[in-house]
Amino acid sequence: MTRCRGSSPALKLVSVIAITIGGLFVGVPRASAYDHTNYAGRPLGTSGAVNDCHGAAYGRVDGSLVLFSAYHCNPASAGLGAGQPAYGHDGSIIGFWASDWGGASVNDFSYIWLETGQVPFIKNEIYRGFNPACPTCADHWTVTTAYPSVGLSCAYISSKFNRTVYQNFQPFYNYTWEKEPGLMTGFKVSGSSCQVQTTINWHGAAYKDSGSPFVYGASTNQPVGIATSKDGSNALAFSTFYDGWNKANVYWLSHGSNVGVHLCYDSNCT
Amino acid sequence: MPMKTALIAALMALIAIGCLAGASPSDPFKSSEPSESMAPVRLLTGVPANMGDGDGCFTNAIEGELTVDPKYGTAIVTTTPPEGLTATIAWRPGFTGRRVGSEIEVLDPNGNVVATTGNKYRIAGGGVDWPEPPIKVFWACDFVDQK
Repeated sequence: MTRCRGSSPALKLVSVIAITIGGLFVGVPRASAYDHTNYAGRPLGTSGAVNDCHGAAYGRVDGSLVLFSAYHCNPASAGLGAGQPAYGHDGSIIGFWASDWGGASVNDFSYIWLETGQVPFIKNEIYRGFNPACPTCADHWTVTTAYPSVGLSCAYISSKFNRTVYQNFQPFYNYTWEKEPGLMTGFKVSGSSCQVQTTINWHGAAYKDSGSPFVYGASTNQPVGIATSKDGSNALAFSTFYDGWNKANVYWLSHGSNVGVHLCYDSNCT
Repeated sequence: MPMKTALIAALMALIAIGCLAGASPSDPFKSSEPSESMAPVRLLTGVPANMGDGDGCFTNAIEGELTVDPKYGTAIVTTTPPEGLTATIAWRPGFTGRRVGSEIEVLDPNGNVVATTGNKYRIAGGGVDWPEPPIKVFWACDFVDQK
């Protein structure tokens, strides 16, 4: 680092001011600007292999704040290395993608370890957009359960087929599209993977549905799934949130002093 | 009669000249002989285990430069942050590859060229654990848009 060796304090002050002002005009990268955007229900920034997935919901894993999303959004899923940065809408790094652990990838479930400060002030809200028919209504769902209900797991969700489900999808972070309603019509595939078919249409190549949260119509206080795929007719399917989360929880609880996984169910996410 | 003979001779000469001109490498309609430069290239193709019958696709994409992968045919090098990372590409069943010079062309099941190494693309799909060989790949399962 260059020092103003032997110069007067006044000259040093002038130098500091000049460097600071100069930095504003020569495109110096922003250092550690905190991003308090709520990405639960909003798209992330471009992130290498897996562009612009959505965040689904906030939670804690092993005591640390995380943002849940789909595993196939994690660059590690394509062999691009574990721990790649995750980006916010303005290009800042909001955190780092988790490694593939415990087989939760089978349920297309992953998360981002959030950097200190890179979290919204209220952490248990999932953005759902503005409702023009009800301007005074909340533009978010509030998560009030630490754990997704087992009733929304793959094993039991078939009892809820043909009922309403909502997708939280914003094409860009600052859009205000309202949630989209549809029906859960059945399983898309069978076997170890559990993808629930819906009647909601894929939003197209210009947008990224992956990772966007789904909420079961009668259970808006807990996410039911994470958008992961579409069928040949462009109808969206989601992976059940419970199954990926449960696999993660089993893994973390089996590791000594770890405290497991839970959703942010109060504003501070304690 | 001599006039007619001369006309036929002139026509034959023109056809001969045309045939010679047709041998020019710049003629896109010349018949192509199989050569080493158009040799088939084996691509990694199939459907990952968690995608059922394989008619569906993930709902996001990868963006970068398509490159030659000496082992699996094609790979993509990311051009968006974090840049410069390489992922092997797996294509849907029926996709084929062929070498054209130093590049590889990727053809869909109908024989249409959908991508060529050396160019930049945004390709729909998602990262998956491939069953065989057991490696992590990016499964290209929908649109291939040149950037």
